[in-house]
Amino acid sequence: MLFNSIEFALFLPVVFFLYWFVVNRSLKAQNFLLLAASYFFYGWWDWRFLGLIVFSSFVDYFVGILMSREDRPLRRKLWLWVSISVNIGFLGFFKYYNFFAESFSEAFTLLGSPIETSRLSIILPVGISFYTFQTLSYSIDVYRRKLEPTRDILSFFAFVSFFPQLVAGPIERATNLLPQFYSKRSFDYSKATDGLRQILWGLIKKVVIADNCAPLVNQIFENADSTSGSNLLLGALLFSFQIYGDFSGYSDIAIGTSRLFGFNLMKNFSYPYFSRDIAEFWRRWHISLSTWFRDYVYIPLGGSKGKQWMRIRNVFIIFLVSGFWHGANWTFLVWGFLNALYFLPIFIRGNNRTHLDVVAQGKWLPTIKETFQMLVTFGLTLIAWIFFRASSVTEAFIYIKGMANWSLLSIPDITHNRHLFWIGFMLLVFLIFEWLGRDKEYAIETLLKKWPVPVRYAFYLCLTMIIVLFGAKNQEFIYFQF
Amino acid sequence: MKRFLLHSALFLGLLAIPVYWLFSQADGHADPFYLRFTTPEQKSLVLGTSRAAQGIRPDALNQQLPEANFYNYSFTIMHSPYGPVYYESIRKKLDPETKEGVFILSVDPWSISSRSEDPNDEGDFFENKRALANTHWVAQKPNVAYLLQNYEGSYYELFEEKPEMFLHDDGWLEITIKMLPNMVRGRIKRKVKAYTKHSENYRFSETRLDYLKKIISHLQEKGDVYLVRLPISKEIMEIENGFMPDFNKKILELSKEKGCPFLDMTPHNDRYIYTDGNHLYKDSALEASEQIGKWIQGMNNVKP
Repeated sequence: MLFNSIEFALFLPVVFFLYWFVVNRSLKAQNFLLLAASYFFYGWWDWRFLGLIVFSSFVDYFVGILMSREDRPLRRKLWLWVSISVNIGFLGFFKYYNFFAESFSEAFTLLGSPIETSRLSIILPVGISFYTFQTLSYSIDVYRRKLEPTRDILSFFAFVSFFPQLVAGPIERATNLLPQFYSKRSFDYSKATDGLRQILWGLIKKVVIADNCAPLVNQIFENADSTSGSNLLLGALLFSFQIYGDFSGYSDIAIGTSRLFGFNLMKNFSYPYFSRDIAEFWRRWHISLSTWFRDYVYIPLGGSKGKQWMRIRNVFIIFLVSGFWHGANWTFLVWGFLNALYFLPIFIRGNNRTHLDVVAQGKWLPTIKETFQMLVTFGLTLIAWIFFRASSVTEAFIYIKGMANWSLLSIPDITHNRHLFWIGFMLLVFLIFEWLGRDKEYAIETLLKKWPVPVRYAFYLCLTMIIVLFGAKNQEFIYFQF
Repeated sequence: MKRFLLHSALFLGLLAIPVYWLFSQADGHADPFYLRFTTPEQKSLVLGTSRAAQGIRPDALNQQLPEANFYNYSFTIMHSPYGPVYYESIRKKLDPETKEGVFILSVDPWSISSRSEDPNDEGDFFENKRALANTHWVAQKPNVAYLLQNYEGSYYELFEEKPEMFLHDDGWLEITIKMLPNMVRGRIKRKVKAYTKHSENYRFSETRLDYLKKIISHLQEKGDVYLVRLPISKEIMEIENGFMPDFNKKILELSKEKGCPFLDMTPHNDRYIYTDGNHLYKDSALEASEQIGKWIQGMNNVKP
């Protein structure tokens, strides 16, 4: 079920009504309803893969309990590896089997001894990368004794499958989300309206910004070998906004929906395109995944401690793994590698924590230096996005080569597309809103808050009408494929 | 909570006003189908796929048979081949009070074939997941359910006039495209390619033929049924002859079995102009519709 679908528009109020009016007196009943609703939400896409979630939840629930009963470190480690093997095993099979089989075969062919590997027609279960990492965080935290294992199976299953963030995050930590299932939730008017506001802004990002960029992006990337440099630049630029609108829009809707049910999810995006260097960008982009890798991969590897070469190795590992998490394709690995290269100079000089504040805090406009820094950072990410979007590394190089010539200075020749003007205008307005709200949880969090209620409602009504009028329909979220 | 519900209801109520107004602006420019689901239930129908949608003009028929008041309820090969979905939709669109209706069913080899693995498995028919299948209300203006579920563009496009396409109030789909010879040749070439591929993927479906019979039987309770094979270009004709050489035989048997006359217009294919080899150009559609009208009139005259 997509957040931007009629089905979800019916599903959400029904669950909301049952949650606050029918089962509101019992915490267990509320959790059960959330679990049932989550399975229904997931099963709407493909009920066959519900078994994976259920199995994964069972394994981690019992591994948690078994680890807590065990004092012998080796046994504890063994149980942890059971959890890791099951979860990574599923992920590896469904997401990476074909990639490894093909790469293996190609490598042997290159070495002169071709071998046959069989390709399986596997459907990638939606959201597997997200819920697998979420449930893994539980097992690892229990192993590290950072978290008491739960005996409340209902809460645990509801935590693993919580529908607002099940298929595309934010990837919640058990330490944050699981305890929220233990305690009584009571309805909070301001929290609920705040949730609705964030859903509204998320929908603007998704259906107005991202989905309107998508057809042009597709058109340009599909004809990359025969179009001008300026068109290619436009395509890359639009994709940058498409992926931001798509993914951060999803996160906003997920966080807003959770608030309607009394839950707080972690922030997943924090205006990444207003970053002054690549390190700041990575503190602001897909925060839940970056911090997951930091806590469960980077720090255990030694993090920024140890010898210089080890620290550099750790940086590359973290970016490459992050790239590979996105998909079984060399393009994602190159994307990760490129980001590691961008990050390295700042990291070696020890400047990776220079920009911890919000750019131009308390001011209307950034300084010339800040503007330059933001443009350079955006330009670097834009180049990397080409690899992210292209279907192969060769295609990405053709794209970049096509951009690197004098036709880059020509006027884009897709002006016959009547939507382009609207997209440009909407992007401009969108960026202004984002800039004005850059120190908030989401751009319109406090906008017009001091104005009279009718004015605010008129504003929200206008935003909703913009979604109705300009929203493209039923496009899947890009991150569903990861 | 009370305050929240009240504010939400108020907000949704206020939102409903401009949304309703927006949807009520949708007209024949909206898309090739919408208007057909907004008109009242009908007494005389033109049925078939896109050939009939573009090629049979109710205005021309009505001149020959004014008492019939035809309505074109044809869609495309992807939406309205004869089958359970079309059958149900026709039943809904038909005025239950109809007694002396006239029904023109356009037939061609594709409308009784299927490209599913088992051509007789009606659960696997490709129209099952398309607009006709999920449009339960076919006579509602504005048809909010259709626009929400099936309208493919952004809603601001409802205000845009699309110069190439206009769906008339009587259900006829008018296509206005340039008819320069080289352009037509290009379109025919593309259509031939598409239909050559169809001929490899499609197979005759006994189930679809049964549904055609079922539709005929149902309509015969409400009036007279006529079967028509519309003209097509020689290139497409060749493909159809290769794909289903006994098509006319099948339809003639059906015509005999059901007692409904059959007009095969393909012997006169070269009399007409086509936009792409498969669809009649609007002027030719007028001519062909007049021919059909005269033929029906003639049939009525010889009725005992």
